[in-house]
Amino acid sequence: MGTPPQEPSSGTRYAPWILLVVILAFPLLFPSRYFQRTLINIFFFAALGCAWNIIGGYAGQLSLGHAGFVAMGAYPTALLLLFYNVPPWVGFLPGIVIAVGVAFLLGHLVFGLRGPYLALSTLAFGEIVRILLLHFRDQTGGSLGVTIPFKGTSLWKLQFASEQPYYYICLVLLGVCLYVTYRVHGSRMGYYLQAIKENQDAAENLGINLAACKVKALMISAALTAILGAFYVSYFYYIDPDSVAGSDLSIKILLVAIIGGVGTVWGPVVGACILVPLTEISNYLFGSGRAGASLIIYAIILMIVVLFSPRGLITLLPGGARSYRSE
Amino acid sequence: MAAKETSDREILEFSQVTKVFGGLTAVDRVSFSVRKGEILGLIGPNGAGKSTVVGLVMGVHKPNSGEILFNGENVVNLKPHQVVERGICRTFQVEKPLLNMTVTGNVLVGALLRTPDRGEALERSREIIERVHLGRVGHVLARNLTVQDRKRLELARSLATQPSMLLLDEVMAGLTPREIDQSLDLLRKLRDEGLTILIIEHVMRAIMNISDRIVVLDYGKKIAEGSPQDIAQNPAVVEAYLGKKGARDG
Repeated sequence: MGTPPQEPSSGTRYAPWILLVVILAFPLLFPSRYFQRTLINIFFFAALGCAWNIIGGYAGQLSLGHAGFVAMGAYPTALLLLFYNVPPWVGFLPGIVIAVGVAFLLGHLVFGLRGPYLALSTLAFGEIVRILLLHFRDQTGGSLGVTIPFKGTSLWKLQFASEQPYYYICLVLLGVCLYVTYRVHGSRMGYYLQAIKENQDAAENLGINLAACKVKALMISAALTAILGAFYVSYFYYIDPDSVAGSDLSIKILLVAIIGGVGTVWGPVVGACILVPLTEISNYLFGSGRAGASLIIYAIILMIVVLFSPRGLITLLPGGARSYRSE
Repeated sequence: MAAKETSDREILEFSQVTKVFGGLTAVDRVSFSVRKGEILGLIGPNGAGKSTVVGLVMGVHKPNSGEILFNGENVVNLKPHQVVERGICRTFQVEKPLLNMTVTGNVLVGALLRTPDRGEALERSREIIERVHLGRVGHVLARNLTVQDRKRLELARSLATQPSMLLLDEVMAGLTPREIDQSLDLLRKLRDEGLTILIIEHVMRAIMNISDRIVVLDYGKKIAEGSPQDIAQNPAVVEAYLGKKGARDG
């Protein structure tokens, strides 16, 4: 506020569009499946980070159980396809309804809590989902998980032999998550969420309905997360309770946002661009035998970010500080 | 001083309100009312229950007994945000700024209560910021403000919610005499524009100067009510402030 926004230099003005073209053309220019997979992973985690960011970043309500919502999107999609032949692009809808409904109930239960108590209860939420999936093994396959058989390329079943269609689908999903975040960022709700993060007593005394506002943010976040869960199973053809409802996933989601920059539209994208390649490098260096190595690397990066760039790595990019609201 | 012309309609009625915290009766069967368009001073020694009164009106505390009527509606079961929506807003004795937002951002959050339109809210915020003399720090993060400016921000933010009644909990503490005069001018102007104000203040010069009427609390009980002149000469009030001996010697 006060000072007029600086005119961006022509370089920064065109850079996003050039980048978009490069990203769109990438699968056509580089047929390498490996690079395409890595980029899909980046899109996927960036999108999850965005979804988490709405409640965890903007509203500052730390959720350690977001994987639970991924599972709520993934399992119904997988089971409906497997048992009733419902295509994923219809089958993802019940998952959204479930996730939003659960978010509504969960929000009213836990948002009376603050700080570490809230974080712990969301951690418990994720674990409850995971344990329920393990328990109802007749329906969910328990710890064996659910495998979707690949029966040849089919647009109907969203099954493709090549990576390209998944690449573009995931890119669109990321676009949706970014757009929703962008809308929240500039709206009354965005200001209210930030006020809640800053000081709940003050926020309430400015007429903000704390419970309603937080629950609404959680519902939006859960819906987006569930859609991404549906994509996950369509892309990987396999889910089990540990991979889609485990705390490892929950923590990776929030790391993407925190490392990139919480409460910004693009922060999670920056975070994913760093975390996903690092995971790849760590897997290459240490092999799958030491799968935990990537977690150590996450921890180190997190410490570095918290110590030296607590508002996220996005602030180090040119113009990155402007990702935060100017007033 | 000629009696101010105030409408006799009562905007806020406190009737027989009691609030007990554990074994402590913070507010004990207190009754008073605030008339529309007046400035009512609420004074009393430390721990008299003044801030509790504010908390009770706002719905932060629920009274153990008694009624609080705002425009005829019992508000004791409302939550703070619902009370604000109905047109009462408070400032905090210990300021609670939204630290990582600018002054404008802080006020904007309040203004958004009455309009979802950011541009309109921003315009209103800027007007209010000018009125409370915060214009020079509009773009400064609230965490970097001086205590005086934080007090002003409390007032600005509350005004942004467009209240019909304002509860001011020590907004003048720490201000210089000149700044106090500035604040008093502003409050009078706001009153003349139709705002009803309940003000808690330890700066006696300010409260005696600006209040149309004064209510005095001591140990949770109302011990006096009347015009500033009456209150200044009331033996019970003098005793509450100075003690029995002080009152005798004074």
